[in-house]
Amino acid sequence: MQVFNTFFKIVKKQLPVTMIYVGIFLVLCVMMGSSQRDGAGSYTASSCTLVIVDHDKSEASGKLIDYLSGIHDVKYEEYTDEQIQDYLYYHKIDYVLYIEKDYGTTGELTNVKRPGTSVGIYVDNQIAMYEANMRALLTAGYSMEDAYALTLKALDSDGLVELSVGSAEKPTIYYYFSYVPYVIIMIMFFIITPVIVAFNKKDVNDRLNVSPITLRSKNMQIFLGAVIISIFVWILFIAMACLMGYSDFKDMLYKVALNSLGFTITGTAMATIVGNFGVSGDTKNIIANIAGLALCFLGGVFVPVSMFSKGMLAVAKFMPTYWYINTNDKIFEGGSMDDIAAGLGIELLFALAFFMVAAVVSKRMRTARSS
Amino acid sequence: MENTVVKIENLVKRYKETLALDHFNLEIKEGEIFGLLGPNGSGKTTTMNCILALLTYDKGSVEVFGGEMNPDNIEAKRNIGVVMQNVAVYDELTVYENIDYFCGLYVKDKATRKKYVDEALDFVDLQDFKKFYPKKLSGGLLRRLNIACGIAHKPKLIFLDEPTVAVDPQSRNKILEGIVELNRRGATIIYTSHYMEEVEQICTRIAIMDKGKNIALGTKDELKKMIKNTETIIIEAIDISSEDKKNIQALSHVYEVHTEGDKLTIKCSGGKHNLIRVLDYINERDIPCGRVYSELPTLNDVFLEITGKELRDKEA
Amino acid sequence: MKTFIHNFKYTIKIIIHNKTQMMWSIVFIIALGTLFYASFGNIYEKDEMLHSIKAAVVIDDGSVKQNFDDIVANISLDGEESLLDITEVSGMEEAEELLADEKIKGIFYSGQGELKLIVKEEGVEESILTSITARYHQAVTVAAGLSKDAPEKIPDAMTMLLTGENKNIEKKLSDGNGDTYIQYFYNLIAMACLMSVNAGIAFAVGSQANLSSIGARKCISGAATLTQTVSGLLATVITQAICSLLGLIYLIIIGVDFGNQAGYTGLIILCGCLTGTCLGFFIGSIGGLSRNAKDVIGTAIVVGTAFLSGLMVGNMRMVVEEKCPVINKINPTALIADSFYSLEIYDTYDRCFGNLITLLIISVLCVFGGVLVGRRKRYASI
Repeated sequence: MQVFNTFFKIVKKQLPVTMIYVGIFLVLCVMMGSSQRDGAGSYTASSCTLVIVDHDKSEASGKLIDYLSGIHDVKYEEYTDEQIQDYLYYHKIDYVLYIEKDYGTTGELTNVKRPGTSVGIYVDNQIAMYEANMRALLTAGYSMEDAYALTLKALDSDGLVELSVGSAEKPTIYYYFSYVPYVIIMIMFFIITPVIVAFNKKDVNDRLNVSPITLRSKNMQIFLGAVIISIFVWILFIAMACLMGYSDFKDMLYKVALNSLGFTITGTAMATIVGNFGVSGDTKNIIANIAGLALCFLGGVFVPVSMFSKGMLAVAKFMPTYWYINTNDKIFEGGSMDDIAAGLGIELLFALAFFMVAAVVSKRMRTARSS
Repeated sequence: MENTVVKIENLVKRYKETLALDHFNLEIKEGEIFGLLGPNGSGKTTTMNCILALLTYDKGSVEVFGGEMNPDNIEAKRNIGVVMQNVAVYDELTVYENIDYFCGLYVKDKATRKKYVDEALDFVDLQDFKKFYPKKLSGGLLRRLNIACGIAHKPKLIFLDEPTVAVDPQSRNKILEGIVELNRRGATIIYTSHYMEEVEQICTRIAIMDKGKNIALGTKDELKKMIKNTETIIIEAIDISSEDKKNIQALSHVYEVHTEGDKLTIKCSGGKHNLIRVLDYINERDIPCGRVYSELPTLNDVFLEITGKELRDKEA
Repeated sequence: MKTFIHNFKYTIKIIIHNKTQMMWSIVFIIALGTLFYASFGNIYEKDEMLHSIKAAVVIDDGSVKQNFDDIVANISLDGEESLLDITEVSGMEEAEELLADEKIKGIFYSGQGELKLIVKEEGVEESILTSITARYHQAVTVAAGLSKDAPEKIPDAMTMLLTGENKNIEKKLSDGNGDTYIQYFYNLIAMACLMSVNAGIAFAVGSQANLSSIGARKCISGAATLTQTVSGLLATVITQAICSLLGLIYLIIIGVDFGNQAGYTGLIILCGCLTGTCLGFFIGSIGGLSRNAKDVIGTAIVVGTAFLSGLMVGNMRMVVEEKCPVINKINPTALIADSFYSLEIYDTYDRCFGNLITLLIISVLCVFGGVLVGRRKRYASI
């Protein structure tokens, strides 16, 4: 097992740099997971951030403001156009409402929103319903107070809407594990690929080629070494997850662990392919970024697959990341081992396929070097 | 009166606990080919890097061209050329471009530089390879390129740090001839090596270093006169008795006789016709033998006598 | 000056000769840009731009159904398409299956004479379905109230409820591309610019005597260090900027809308590459660190700043803006991406130039820092 031993000697030599990379990406994963808001728990209509500027300051405008502040988070600042554009774009605010002078008589309002978006229309709708209701009742002879009271009753839709069974808010740890594919791919490229490149350096490779070690044996020993390293990294990730919120996933720990282990091995296999091509330095960094970002965007890690068109969804199914996320979602929705077995199996098939490709690349590169 | 080009006084340099230079003193005159000879780790490259103001040192002073040498001394640097031990060329530039680039860091005028680059190419005999990239060159040709990059700007002081390591004999001779030619054209050369044959061949004055100290300094003849041994006689394929050995030891000017297998080594100090005396004895006693030859002492012998060690490690 | 031009020219030659490196820098933008475009070039259409919402209707109560149909008929998307895309189902069971598979957003049904709704999540489309339920409830409640106090007003009131004049007028502040998914492309170009940190590190290392033989040769040469540094850095920045620009041109060709201010867009890229290179130069100049350690720092900066700018997690920049806004003000990737955004959305250049000035300040500080730190000139060991 000479190659295997040498593999670890090289890893040992690169250990400080390796641990720093693992540390950096581990922190990144924690930050990614923590940045997603924890679910509220009970169903409420989407509450938006509204900005209201009241130029009328009448009883009528006051009632409108009372109504809207009962549903949404209302700010009363008067922002500049530039600020409004900025805050709308970054979803810091969702809607700006100007209550014009003489609103009490004319009913005139002006709004600024993200153009043609669901949020804008949603708030437009609510204001329209309120306006219509108040106008109808005021025209019918109701006083402002009575009209407002009946309007509140008419617009109170509590109890009319319920969440279906099986809908549950996802804990922060779910998001942590959702972003694991990206960091795993990056870590494996940064720590496994350089070790394999070292084995494929011309002089080292020539030495191995004239030794009694077959190419098959060399590859097997390298792959084994790589998998063992990846298991250590995986253990660190699980340990970090336990630190972050063991109680949130203790019932599904073994399923989550299996799923992440499956992907870790897949990521390792990808890294060995690139290593066998002898890619190092800045080129390796760029390829790692391309692979990590591409697989994660295509697989639904950063953008949910529910946003994809049909064509893109078909492509996504060829990504190992898609199956990882799919399995992760099922686990956190309470899926059983049977539900997730298929996804796990596909991940491991990807791993096997990548290792085989790595072996083929190794053989081809050897032939190319000797010719 | 020859000018002093390099003057080192009382130089001390430590790498953590290791004393790399131990109160080292040296003076190099204009027009010399000065050899720094010593085994690996003796401090040759460290000395060179201190002179070039690349390394810090703990004590002492270094003067080049009469002025203190420091990294800001651009005037001095313009007149210095360096051929480093490691080949320092860009793989991304051709042979011509490499020489042109490094020459351009010293020579601003384009026309002058072109002339210098062409002359440098002629000098190292790389005209046929000027459009080649370094990766396509053999070790010897690479070394020649390395030299060209260091001397193209016609410096007055040239440092060559082991320029013939891993070089084929043909290239090596070419390099040594070139160095002598550079000196003939007016450059002062400082040549570091652990190959005594090269140093003996070209250097006008030699300093032998060991453990950061200057243990011997002078021309090669002066150095050889420092030691006892003036002639070594070697007789091969000889079967000699102890009594004969003693008798040979007793001959005049012979101070050491030892056998190694079937080879007899006789060391003499002073005197003339030592070889004839030994041959007469062997003929008289009718002792059968193979080849007989005599060697003058080498710098290795000088080093050996002074330090008790070989200049080069056994495997070199 | 001659030495400056000489060193500049040759540095460009050296960088360009390394074709693999340059190619991959361009491939980075092309590959990911194409992916982004394919993945969610349409998402803005799918998500943000409004389409009919899929729902199932399982209403047994006849009067509820009639009222429901009346209300739905009066709700349209900009006066044309219906807001609801009703999916036919055989019963509640089939409807619940479709909801679980997310093929529909909600199920309308009747219960106790009321219109009710089941949804799976709490998204905005679900909230719109809720508002339909609310409209129904509103009409029924108003009718019930008026029937006691003024029953003759009911028809007028119903008409006003369902068809009242909309006096809430929208005011448009900009003609710019409001597509929030364009941020991903901005961040992609910004990250590509920041990747020039690796080139900066390579340049610094190649200039140091203790890290490379060529560095030693350059240190002892007759050319001033500052001349070599500035000319070399400038050459590095320009080659990196050319790679990023080529990538940008590709994105524009495939249809990503970066607006029509080519000159300023190029300027942003140049400043971005300048910052990346100078940052790399500073890191590379730090003595006592091995080449590997410097590469680690470079990677951490590229990936870390891209993450904080929102390349991976789309809302990250807003999270940072809430929790620690100063990071957005000094994060080079965020500054570059924000410069693209400001150029597109705002009519004035104040904000864009403000960002570029910050980038320039960072660059200058890094160069000074690098020269100062690397200026030790003599090394303890080589």
